[in-house]
Amino acid sequence: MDAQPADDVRGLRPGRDEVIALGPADGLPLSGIRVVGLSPPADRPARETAAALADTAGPGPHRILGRDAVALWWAVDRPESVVSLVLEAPTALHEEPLDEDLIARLPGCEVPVLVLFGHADPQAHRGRAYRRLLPRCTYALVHGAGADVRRDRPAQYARVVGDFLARDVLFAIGGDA
Amino acid sequence: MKFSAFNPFPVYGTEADPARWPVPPRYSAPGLAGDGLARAWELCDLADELGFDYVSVAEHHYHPRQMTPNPLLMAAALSQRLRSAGVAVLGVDLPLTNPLRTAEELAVLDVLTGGRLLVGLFRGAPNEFLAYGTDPYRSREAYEEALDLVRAAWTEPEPFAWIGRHHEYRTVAVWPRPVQQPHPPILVAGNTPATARYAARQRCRLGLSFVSAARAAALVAAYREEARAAGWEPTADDVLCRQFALVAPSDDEADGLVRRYGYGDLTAMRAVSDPRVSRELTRAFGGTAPSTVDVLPAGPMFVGSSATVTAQVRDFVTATGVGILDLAFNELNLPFAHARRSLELFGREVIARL
Repeated sequence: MDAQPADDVRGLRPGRDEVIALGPADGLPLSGIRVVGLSPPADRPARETAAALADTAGPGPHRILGRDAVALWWAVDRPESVVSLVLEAPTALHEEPLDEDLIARLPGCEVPVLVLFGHADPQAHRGRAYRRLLPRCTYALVHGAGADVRRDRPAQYARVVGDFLARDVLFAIGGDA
Repeated sequence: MKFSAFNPFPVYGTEADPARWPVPPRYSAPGLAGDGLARAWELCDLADELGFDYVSVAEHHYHPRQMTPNPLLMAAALSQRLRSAGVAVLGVDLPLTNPLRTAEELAVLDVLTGGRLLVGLFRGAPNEFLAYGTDPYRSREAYEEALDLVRAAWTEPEPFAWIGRHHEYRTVAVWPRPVQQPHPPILVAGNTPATARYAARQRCRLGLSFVSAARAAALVAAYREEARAAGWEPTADDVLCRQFALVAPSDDEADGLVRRYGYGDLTAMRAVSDPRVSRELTRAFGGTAPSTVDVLPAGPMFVGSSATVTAQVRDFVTATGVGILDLAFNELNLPFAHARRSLELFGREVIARL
């Protein structure tokens, strides 16, 4: 695990409410939020990997950044351990072979999910499928960004992801509580 | 070749100095706006009857010259009035208001017109940025983002959040969807080579206004070249140009009316009260204004008898490749009877010859 400095951030309790990134956490433009990177092994089925990671991470609850089926399986199988999920340019619902078991479970998943795509990413339309299947999904288009949102629009990424991690579904409400 | 009759909806008979901007509301005496509206409807109905393809409106603020601060209101009324002509909104000043509200209203307007809506999504002229205190300094970037947002709002089938530098909306789900799919034709103002090329890259139609034939030809060439580079070929309908027209029984009479009333003299029409404000706004726009500031004509493009104007229109279209002419026949300074006759002569004698 590699960690970034913990500072105070609205709604997050440093040290207790760290965010888990499935993949490398360095380079994330999320200053003030403690992000822990977990690297899933690539050679196991997504569902098994998710279970192993959830065991490693403990009961949480956790906020998870991911993009593939592992993150979604974690939310589906261990919803009590997941506060919210951010999927950045996710591929889970479009990779062959399709994980029909996962797709069938998504309408029952109550975990708040933010799906981020760059507006200029040719794959941005894929975000619609998550919005249709997940009952508490926000499908966000980041203007000026292509396939790498955090690199192309770091300020927008930080603001939106930071706010979603802090407030999950209340993210829909504008203004400053 | 298609024709559109532009109506600015002037409020006649005020005591105000039309060279000022803004014009004090105290000059809007009771009844004047209604009188202006009745005359405007008369011309709109006539254009419809004469076979014009569109009747068009534009957004302008704080001036009796144009009673269309929200052109969509007049467009909605027109939609319930015109029998065969479509409605062209040319255009909305996109940076001035909430782009989602604009997307919603235009979608409803597309329903109201039965899918006969043509819409210009423009950046707006510099002085319009004073109307609501809109930031002109980043208006190019904000405009381009808003254009992308409106199109996303019209085409995304699922609710979405828009995260931009200039606009952020966390729940977007515009109802209804436009009748025209994927959305009504969009014109982008392209009075400079850079903006004409931008229109082509966006696969939008090109909207020109009050430019000479030589300048229009150069802009259309830039537009077509950029479109080809982007992998598409514009048709004639993709290029629209607004011009003033004045048709009279003879060339001499038409010329005399232009001189007497200063008809079509945009140098006299564009006014911001303080010249320093005007210069700064132009600078804020990047030094070159998007539409009419650089090359304002001091008179109408098409003037004369119907035979003369027919030849002028033919030459202009041949030289430029413009496919839709959006023509102004009425203006605050021109007495209504002359405007009405001009429109009628154009409809009956010019369109018939083209």
